[in-house]
Amino acid sequence: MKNTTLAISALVTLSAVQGASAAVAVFTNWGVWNNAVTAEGHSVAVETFNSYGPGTATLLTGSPLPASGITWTATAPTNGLVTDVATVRTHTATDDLVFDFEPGVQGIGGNIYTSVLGQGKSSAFIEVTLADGVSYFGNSDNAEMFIGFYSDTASIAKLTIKVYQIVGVNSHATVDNLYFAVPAPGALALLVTAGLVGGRNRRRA
Amino acid sequence: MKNTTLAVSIVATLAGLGMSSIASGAVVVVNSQVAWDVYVAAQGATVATETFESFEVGYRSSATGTAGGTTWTANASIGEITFQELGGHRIISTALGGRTLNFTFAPGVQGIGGEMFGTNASFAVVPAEITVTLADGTSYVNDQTSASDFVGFYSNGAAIASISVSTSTEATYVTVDNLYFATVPAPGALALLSLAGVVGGRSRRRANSAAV
Repeated sequence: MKNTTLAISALVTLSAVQGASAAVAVFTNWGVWNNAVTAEGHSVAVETFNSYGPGTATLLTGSPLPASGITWTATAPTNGLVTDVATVRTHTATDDLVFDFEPGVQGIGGNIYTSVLGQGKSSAFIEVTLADGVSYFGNSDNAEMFIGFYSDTASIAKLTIKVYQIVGVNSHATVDNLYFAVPAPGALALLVTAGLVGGRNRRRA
Repeated sequence: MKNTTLAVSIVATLAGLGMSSIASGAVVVVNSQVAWDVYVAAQGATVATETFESFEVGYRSSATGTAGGTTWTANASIGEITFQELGGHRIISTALGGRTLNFTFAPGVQGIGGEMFGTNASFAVVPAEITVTLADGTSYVNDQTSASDFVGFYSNGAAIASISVSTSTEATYVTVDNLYFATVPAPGALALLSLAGVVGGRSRRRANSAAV
């Protein structure tokens, strides 16, 4: 029991030393997001969508690499999804692009923008919203554009991308890469050790 | 002015598409002034601007001003604040590097935005990681590189009563150029405005009739 307490205490101390932060922080720069999640003791797993060939699907699912036990599921409520050139987008322009994460993650980010079939990026506004209501709203015409979140409280289990058309073009919500803040290998090992020690103590008791 | 025209045009297009009101979550973070203008206009909010131009260059412990119906107060976490000239604009900054610039608003506002960036000891713009945090903990973190880098928030729930602008670098002085306050007129005020418009219109018509 004492060892378990020590292990948990070490994790708490680690978190405190690496800096207190807000409930949900929003980022628009990959480097800044990456530094922030790393400073909080996470490593980053990536879903590039490179393994998905051109096609359509009502639902897509996968796991970022390196493997971390996280599974993502993508849906578009009205008319499904299109995969092409290592991207995922909605089949219908008016559809939202929704990502669910199991288990939830502390941080999520991606190259999120709007595109028109056959023409690449397009002009529109997008809103990227977490389940707790915190969102980013902005221009979406840059395929390199990054939008990221980090929560130091509840984990992030859902991300919804909504498009607001500003011209007569049908812009589709599009995602290139998704970046997940996952427990760093060291922290994972510590958690496993804490679990083992705790289990041993429980068995002794 | 150009941005405002563009924003109005975009809002008109949104309205034409049946999207006159952008529904969204609790707090929205926006990093472009055009997008923020579009967003607040779609919420029916009006915007008042504090340019800081009426403040004399110099140092003080705190400052207070009013824009629209909002009174703002600024101070630094440690030390003084200062008003200076930068590129023909009056800016507000911390007097000490690495400190936080705090603003409080009375009454609270639905939206707040501004050009927020870092300067050095000589008041020149320097690239800096700037964090802007609301009282509820929501924040925006970015490498700000120019005096036109914008950060804005809009709350669809509780009014925003304060923001804190901070930097992680001791040699950086957090700096703000303009502040934009978005407020939504209360229903009573809207009715009064409409009534004033009707009465004003009627008076003008009467005056025109008399002139004829």
